[in-house]
Amino acid sequence: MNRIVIAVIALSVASAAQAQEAQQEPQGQQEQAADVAALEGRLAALEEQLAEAKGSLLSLSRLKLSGYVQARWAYQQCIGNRQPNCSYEAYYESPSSAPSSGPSQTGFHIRRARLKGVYDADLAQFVLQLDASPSSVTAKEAYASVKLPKLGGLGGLAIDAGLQLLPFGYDVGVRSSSDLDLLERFRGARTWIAGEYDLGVTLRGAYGPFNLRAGVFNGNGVEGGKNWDNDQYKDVVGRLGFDFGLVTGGVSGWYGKTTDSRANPNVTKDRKRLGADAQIYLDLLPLGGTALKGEFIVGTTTLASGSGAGGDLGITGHAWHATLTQNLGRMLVLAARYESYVRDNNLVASARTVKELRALDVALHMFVGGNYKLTALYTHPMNGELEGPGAGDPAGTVEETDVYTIQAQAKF
Amino acid sequence: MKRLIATSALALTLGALPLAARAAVTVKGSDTMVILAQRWAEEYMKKNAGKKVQVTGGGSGIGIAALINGTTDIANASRPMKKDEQAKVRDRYSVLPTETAVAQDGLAVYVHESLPLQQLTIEQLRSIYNGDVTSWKDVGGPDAKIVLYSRENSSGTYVFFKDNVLQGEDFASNAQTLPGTAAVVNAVAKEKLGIGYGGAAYAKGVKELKIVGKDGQGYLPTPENVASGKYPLARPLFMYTRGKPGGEAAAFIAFCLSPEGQAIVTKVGYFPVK
Repeated sequence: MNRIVIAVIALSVASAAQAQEAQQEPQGQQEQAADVAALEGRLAALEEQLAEAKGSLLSLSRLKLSGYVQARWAYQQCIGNRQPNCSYEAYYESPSSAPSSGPSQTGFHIRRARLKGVYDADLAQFVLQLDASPSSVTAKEAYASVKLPKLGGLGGLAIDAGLQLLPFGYDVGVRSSSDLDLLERFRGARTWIAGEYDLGVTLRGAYGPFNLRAGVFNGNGVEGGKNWDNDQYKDVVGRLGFDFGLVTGGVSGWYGKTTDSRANPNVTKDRKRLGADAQIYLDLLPLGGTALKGEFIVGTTTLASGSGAGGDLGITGHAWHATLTQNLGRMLVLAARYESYVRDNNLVASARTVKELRALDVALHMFVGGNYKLTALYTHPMNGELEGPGAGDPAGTVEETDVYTIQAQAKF
Repeated sequence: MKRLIATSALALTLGALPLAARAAVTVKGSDTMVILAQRWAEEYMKKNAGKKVQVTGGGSGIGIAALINGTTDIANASRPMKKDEQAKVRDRYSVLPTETAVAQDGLAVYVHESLPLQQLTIEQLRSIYNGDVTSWKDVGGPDAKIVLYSRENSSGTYVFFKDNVLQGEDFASNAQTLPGTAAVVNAVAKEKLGIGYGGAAYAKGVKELKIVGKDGQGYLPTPENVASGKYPLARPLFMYTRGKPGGEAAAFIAFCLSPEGQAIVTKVGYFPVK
């Protein structure tokens, strides 16, 4: 009897244990399934976050930032009898007037500090370029661009509207201010395309080796805070360029009118330019590549700030330059430019009147990596004083106003 | 004038110092070519004691950028240089870049070894990678979602694929970007539903799909098919220099094009240019 009871009890215990085990198995599987579901849920959440992050990154990747800073030290020899009144800035920014203010220059200054943002969407582009100086920040470029579909062989078509580079010449229309061979543009460009930017709308495109950029502008530039057109006339400006690999160049045209409404009666004059430029690249010397560049401009009425209508109204002049650059290995480039500038073709030269201003610039650039460039520049005005000897000077006096410049440029 | 002369002399001396210190030839760029370039460099240095060749990858775009900013002698590229890139070299150095084709590559399309699919047309490949087709079922495979693998946009392989397969269209937004062909192969080898592309030399542990040519036949990227032009995704591999190659760079490129250099091309899994 006792054995039977023990056997029954043992059987009961075994059955109970088996039942408990059977209950635990589905529970274990359920827990595993729950774990897998939880992991799948986390994975789905991570995938969603990744998709969001990729979307944000895609937007950021469409924004391209670039810029450069040019820090300079410059020294200008003073005009003998005008000491201490010499001005380095006057030489570059007021080419038609003699240095007249400030002490003789041995100074550090920031020549340009630019930051440019381009947002490239599928069909549109937004461009903003700021120029910073120790005293102010101004907009150099601010335009909206819409891309147009390809038309047969015509590609790269777009319409740009706003504040943008004037499409004229090589020194202004093509070459960035950070890549100038002699740190500053030749006098003709600084006179007839002063400021380099204006408000307007342009069309650009390319066909094979040819490219065109042309548009309609206010015409008087934006230097000196000119945000409005001074008259109802608009100027048409354009450049047709070509690129045959080792030979590039273009022809440029500009036609418009300007009214000086302060004059009584109002005076309306033509504002026009015609330009041609060419660049030839030669791989002759084992030292490095050689380039020959030249540009010619004939212009009527300048963009000098003043009455708002421009300067030298109706006066026609011309200018040209010839530049040679020679690469010396990977890091050095030697550049030399000879230029000629005639403000007024009809001016009669005399002992006290200089008709043609000539200058020689020589520069040595040293590139450090892709972002840094150190430049030593020597500028030699070959006529001496800009507008002839000053009052009291003996006739025919030629005085030195050489400029020595060291520039450090960082670019990204 | 004296100051100008002194400044110029100082600049010339400073400029010459790095040139004197640098005797190695630097080669940068294409990840497709990096293994090949390293093999070339090893053999070249064995044969020329004292000479040094430094090879790094990063992608064709990185190599070309380095050529423009002067930090490499030779840029390896699995795509031709663009016009604006050539213009940048010209504007900076007054010479045009010189292109030398040093090998040929068949751009292979990889899938997992177990995927029951043998070939694709270019149009099907385009539809997959632009996101129009998302299931293997639509191209003759199993009823399952396609997992896309692609390369970074600095890669010449990426640019070649975009130009020649996608014809300029954007990649699908769900294409996963991977750095280097080896990473693409590794990913596809582990993902049964994955598809990727890259140099034929890297295709180990994955299956290469036949690509249908102009005659309607499917072709694998074999030496015969690449040399005959039957394989539709064949491309040359380039070395670029600033101007005509000179000095040590010229000697290295000459070695790469020599019979010995071209034999290395075949060993690595690419196809000789001659």
